[in-house]
Amino acid sequence: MIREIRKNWPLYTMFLPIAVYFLIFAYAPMAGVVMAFKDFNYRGGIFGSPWNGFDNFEYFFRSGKAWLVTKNTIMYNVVFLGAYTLFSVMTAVFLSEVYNKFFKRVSQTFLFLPYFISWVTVSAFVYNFLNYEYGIVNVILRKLNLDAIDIYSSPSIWFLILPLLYVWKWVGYGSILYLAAIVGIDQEVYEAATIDGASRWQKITRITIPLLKPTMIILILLGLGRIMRGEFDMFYQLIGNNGMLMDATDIIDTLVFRSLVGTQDFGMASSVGFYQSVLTLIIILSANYLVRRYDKDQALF
Amino acid sequence: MRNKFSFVVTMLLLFSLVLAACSSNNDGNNGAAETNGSSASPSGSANSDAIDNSKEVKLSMYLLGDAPKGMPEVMEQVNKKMKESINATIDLNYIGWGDVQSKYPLILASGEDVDIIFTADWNFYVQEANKGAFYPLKQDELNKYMPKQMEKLNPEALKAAEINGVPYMIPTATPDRKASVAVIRKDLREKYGVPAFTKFSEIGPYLEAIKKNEPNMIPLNLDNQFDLPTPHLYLTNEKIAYTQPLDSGNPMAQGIAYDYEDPSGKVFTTVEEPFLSASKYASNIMKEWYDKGYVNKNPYANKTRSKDNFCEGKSGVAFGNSLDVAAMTELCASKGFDVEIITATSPQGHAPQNTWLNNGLAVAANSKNPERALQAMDLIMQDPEIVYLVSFGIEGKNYVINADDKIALPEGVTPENNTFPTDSSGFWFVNKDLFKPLANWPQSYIDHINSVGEKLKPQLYAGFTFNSESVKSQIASVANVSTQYGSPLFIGAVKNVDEAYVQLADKLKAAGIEKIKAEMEKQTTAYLATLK
Repeated sequence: MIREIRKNWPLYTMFLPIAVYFLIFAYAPMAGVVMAFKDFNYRGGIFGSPWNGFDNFEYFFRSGKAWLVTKNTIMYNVVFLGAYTLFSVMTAVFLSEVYNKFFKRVSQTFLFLPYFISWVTVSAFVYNFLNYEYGIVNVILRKLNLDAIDIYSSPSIWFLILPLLYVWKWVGYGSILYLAAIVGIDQEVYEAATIDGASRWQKITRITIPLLKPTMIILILLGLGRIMRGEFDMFYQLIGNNGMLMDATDIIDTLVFRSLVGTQDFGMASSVGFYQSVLTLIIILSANYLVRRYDKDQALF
Repeated sequence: MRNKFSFVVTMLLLFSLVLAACSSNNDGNNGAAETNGSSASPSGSANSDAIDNSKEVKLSMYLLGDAPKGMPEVMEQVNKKMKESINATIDLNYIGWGDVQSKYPLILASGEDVDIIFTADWNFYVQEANKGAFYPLKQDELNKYMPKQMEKLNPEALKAAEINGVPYMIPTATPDRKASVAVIRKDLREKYGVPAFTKFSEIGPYLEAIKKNEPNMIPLNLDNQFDLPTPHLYLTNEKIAYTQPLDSGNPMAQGIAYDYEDPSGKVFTTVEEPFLSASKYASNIMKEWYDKGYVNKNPYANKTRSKDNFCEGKSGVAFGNSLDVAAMTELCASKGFDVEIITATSPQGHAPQNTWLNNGLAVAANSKNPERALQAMDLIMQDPEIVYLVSFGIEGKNYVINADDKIALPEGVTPENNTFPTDSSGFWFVNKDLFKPLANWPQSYIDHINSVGEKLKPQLYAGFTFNSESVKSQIASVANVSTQYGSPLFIGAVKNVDEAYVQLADKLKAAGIEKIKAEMEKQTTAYLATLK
């Protein structure tokens, strides 16, 4: 062990700050998981408060919506992750094929811009686009003598709107990751292909995409780590407490927020955090297992 | 070698991702555990008679809302006075309205430097007191450190603040005399020939006239927080005397109600008779208005209160209470139109008097100087000089006392450019009997505020505080069901009112509302026994 450290000391030195960061912010708070099983009060703190078994979990499973929100959370996130990966890769490939530098920079900037806009702002302008009375969409529909759509009370439309907004916001960020991977591909491979008479399309499908696969797998596996958490900001800001949309748009985080915002109970909030963590662990382990069976080198561990 | 290294890195990464969910829930609480152990216990000086203020201290105070622009200057003056009287200064902080629900408990939990904090029955008093967030108050300490407030405070108020026999807050000595109101445009009502009315349920023709003649104005432009349940509540209130659920105090939630005109104090859920038919009546009217387009279609996404865009002509009606519409009526008057104020009343024409715990202050459990904090609270609540400073600002700059002995704006200052508008600083718990009347209120407002007192009726349960500890899971579930199935009924956005109520009742039953009712019956019976 000591010999190993001595041999690779630059690597370990570089690793040290990260290790410290994770020890403090990820490993130490792990002990707080006991709060899910405690009747928390300030006097006793996390460790001194009395145990109360599974009482904290009761409200979540009694709500009758535990299965619905779990399903919604997973479903939305799978769609998000899939659409995000697909569009990021597509954008990155297209951008890499653009040779006009000016156009490339400008489009990249515009694609990246939404990443910096918070969901609060997005919700404000989405409201101004879509609301029934004076939203731009409905004003145009009325001008064309069509019926206005009451979007905020039509749940099915949101199955489309939410992924669209998600992709719009994140695709710029994702495409940069993939673009970096594309730039890293050895140019000689492309030159060889050109000499062999490969078309542009063939070069994309036969060289770029297969060489991007390891990056995609890693990013998807990492993305799975967030799968039970959803985009709380997005759902809460866009949907809020709109009862009419709720069956279609309720995720675990919004349900918990709505239930506990008046009760302010830390134990009950932690219980669902614990539930999410357990599910996430299962999902990651199984995803990694599948990847390993299919291609051992691509798996995380 | 390389493999082992990357294995460690990926394991770390992975665990961090897995745990991110739960660690984010715990962030605020680690601190609480540490500081609680070391929090200073009240010093022994309570035993001796003399008050020892020899050590200068800085007290940290938290209020709700936003600081008016002129606050630093005002605090400078307040602190000068504080320093002289009790050798302490106050560091004032605000929790913005949008952050109250998340930040308020965190400030108390984090063990952050906080001594004095605003509290009220509508702002988590019971929940936080149950969690041990506040310093338990003892009668002898109060008599010693808060003599002026104790003299003015009705003992019943302090009794109402008791949780398991111990009070944790000092309520205001002068509970607000206010009722819920709807404000309409007098000029428009007269212009379109709608006859005058005094009950909210008679507002239909006015809404119709606005809808027909004012294309840029939404008759009821509701926001997603305050306004959303309000018109429904006013309509319900005309059939059965009701304010808000007794269990959670949250007007958005379903829960346990009682008729404040009924001396027996019987409690019932919001989905059983006699409440149900009143609520259905209100929902049917709301549905009619919603279908006719009198209500904005998406109140859930609208964050602007009707009271804040009423004077700009965006809403036909503004909702609020007797006190918080004052500044709005002034603004409307300065824009050249008069308003009419409709008070929401019970079938017998009454409005409920405020509870004792509607406004108040508490000392944080981990305050290092609770005695000094109590003394500072005594000054803030009762010292005339400080009360005027924190309520009206600096004399000569923000207000003047005019020849009629009324409070007026100085030359050149308007309601819009005043750096310290009246009643904007969040000090709602001061002794308001010390106030002189305001000069620039429009006549319609003066008439309202003078007449509102007669309508107020004391509530049977004004001194009752529900301890929700044993049914908190059920209250959480009910809150969740209410948002999804209850709130569309508030604005009438349902296809069939009767069916929606059946569904709501089923969901509430599954959420355990009967258990809350049983607990409520137990506690109210015990409370009523103490009154006899």
